[in-house]
Amino acid sequence: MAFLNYEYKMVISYSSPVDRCYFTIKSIPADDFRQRSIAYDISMKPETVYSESKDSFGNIQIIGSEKEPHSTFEFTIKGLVESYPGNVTGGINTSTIGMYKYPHGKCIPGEKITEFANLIKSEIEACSSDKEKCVVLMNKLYEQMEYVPGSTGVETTAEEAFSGGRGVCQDYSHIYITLLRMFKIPARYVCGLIVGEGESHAWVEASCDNTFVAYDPTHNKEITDEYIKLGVGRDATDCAINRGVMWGGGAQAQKINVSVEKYY
Amino acid sequence: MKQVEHQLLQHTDKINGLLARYGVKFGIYKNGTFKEQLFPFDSIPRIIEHAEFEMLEKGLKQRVLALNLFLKDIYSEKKIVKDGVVPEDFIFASSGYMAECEGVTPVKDIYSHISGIDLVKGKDNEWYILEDNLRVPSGASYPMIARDLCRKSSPETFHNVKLLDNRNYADLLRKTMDYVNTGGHTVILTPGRYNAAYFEHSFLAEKTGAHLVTGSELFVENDYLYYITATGSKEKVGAVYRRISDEYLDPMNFNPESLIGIPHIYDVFRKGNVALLNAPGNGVADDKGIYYFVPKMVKYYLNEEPILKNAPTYLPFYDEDMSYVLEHFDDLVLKDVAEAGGYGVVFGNTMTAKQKEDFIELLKAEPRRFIAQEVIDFQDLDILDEGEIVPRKADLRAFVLMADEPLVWASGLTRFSRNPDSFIVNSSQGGGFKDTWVLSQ
Repeated sequence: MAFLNYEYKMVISYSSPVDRCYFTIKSIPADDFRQRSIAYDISMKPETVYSESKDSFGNIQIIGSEKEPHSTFEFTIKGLVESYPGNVTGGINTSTIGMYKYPHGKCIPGEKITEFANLIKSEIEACSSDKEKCVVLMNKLYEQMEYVPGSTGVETTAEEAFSGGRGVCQDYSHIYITLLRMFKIPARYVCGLIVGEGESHAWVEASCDNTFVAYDPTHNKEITDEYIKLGVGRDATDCAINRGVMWGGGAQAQKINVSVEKYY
Repeated sequence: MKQVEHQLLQHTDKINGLLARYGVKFGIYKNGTFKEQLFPFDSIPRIIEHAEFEMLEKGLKQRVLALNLFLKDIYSEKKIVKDGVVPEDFIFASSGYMAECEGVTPVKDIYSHISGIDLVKGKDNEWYILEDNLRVPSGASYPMIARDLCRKSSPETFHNVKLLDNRNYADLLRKTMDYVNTGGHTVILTPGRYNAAYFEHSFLAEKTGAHLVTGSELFVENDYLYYITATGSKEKVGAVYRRISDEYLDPMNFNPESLIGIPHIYDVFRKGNVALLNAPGNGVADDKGIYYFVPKMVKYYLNEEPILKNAPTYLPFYDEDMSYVLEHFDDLVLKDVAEAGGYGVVFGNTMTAKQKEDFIELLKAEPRRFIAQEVIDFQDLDILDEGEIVPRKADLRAFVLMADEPLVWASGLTRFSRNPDSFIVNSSQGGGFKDTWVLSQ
């Protein structure tokens, strides 16, 4: 178990003022089987009215709008989470687990992923447990991919990233989810933060024997207590940290700073 | 009755002329361009006897009640899946299932406020349900206006026949909208004039006294929905009869590319601060695949025997049904569950050997994607075609409105195929329509 002190800061600058914008931000860690949110503090510039609610995936969402013209939009959340070790599992809701079993959104197998799945099929099916399948599948995927920042974008699908053989955490997770579901293991996308400085991270929760086990395919390992979960969904779109609609604004540049420190 | 039925014949051209003048049109996209077409009206009404209508009414109420309970169950506990009545493939793999709607409870638990149920009458004199439309069923405005014009053109016809007035649809709709209104104005949300059913949106707004609005006139603030009036003031909205499909309704919750939607409208709904008619997510219950299970839903949720029958349907998903389908291929009609509007429908006996071979291959690869049905030999209705009375295939879309209890409109949209060899009556495929008379005794 660990205590994780985190800060997530997002600054969006626009080349010309935004007249009006609506946003949904999913950045508050929800309590679940492997973490407890102890405290958090949110600040926004311009100061704007917002409300908190839960979406259909169980994520906490901050909903608001800014109707005064603005050229930058700043959002910061600081908080403290109690995080449990990676081997703590659970979290299955039998009414909704079905939504994580089928191809969806960015996790739809195409020719290349299907070909790869067929190639490793016998090896995966020879595994004695779902957990073992997850690990073997993750190893196989890791061998196929090269981690190259900037090689893909937020809209890149699992099939596109796999065909190119390169990607970042979002792509590794999308491909891994696609494969897991092909081998009948329900899997969901996790968006979150890890100890260190940088950007947000993504990993995967797979349902093995009616409990979620979390794997980080980008690092080819089971997760540890150094991970903070911000959101889950069928793919990255369901739990995107920031989703917005705006009028005006022109070109935009987004800067994100994440820092997470660990205390025992 | 024949005599009365045919009394309106001499008024056909006049009524069609008036319909054109009132702009009773529907739009279609052909080769990428938008065109408005007249919806040809045939003046010989479909007549439903009173006792027959009472039976239909009971059956339709029962069906819509069961469908509403199904939707409530699917977006919460999913007991019907856990109890093994409906396989989960037909829920989670259905394009109509929306995970974004999980756990959201609409005002007063009503999902399908306005249901359009399509039926046909077989030569065996039995009615069969063809499909349920629980998303944004259209068509009620056509018989409403046609009846009005017929009465004006030939008042004497209506003195001689005892039939139920169908001009109360607007009152029923208003009652349905008011029943779930959370406090505020009632609006009808249209995608705009380039929508196939724009005539209907404006007509219903006028008749119900609701404001006709597009997405740009609505906005969300502090968890409530507002409407900007023509004078620029801001008014709270309590009920939205939306004629925009689910995916375009809210770019923050559904398709982010939507330009016609209202950001956060679904979050207002999620909080219970506005009613959306119909509720998003209903597609999971009117999918052609789930159709097979509706009679089972009636038994499961209401513990009653279904009053109205489905057309005999087979699900290739089940091995037993697959073998039946392969054996009786030429006698069946096959439907792609993801398609609508008469598209994706093929008759086994019209395929060439090669087409059949390809189709069977596809069917075996994706069994869940198709349903197969016995071809119902449905009763023809008389229509006037270039001066001659000829028989044509026709169906009936019945409208069921759900307020404190389900109400069946004593009329409906009767559509017919103008092509003598066709069973497909959809307006987008060139069909016409008739008024539907329900006798009062």
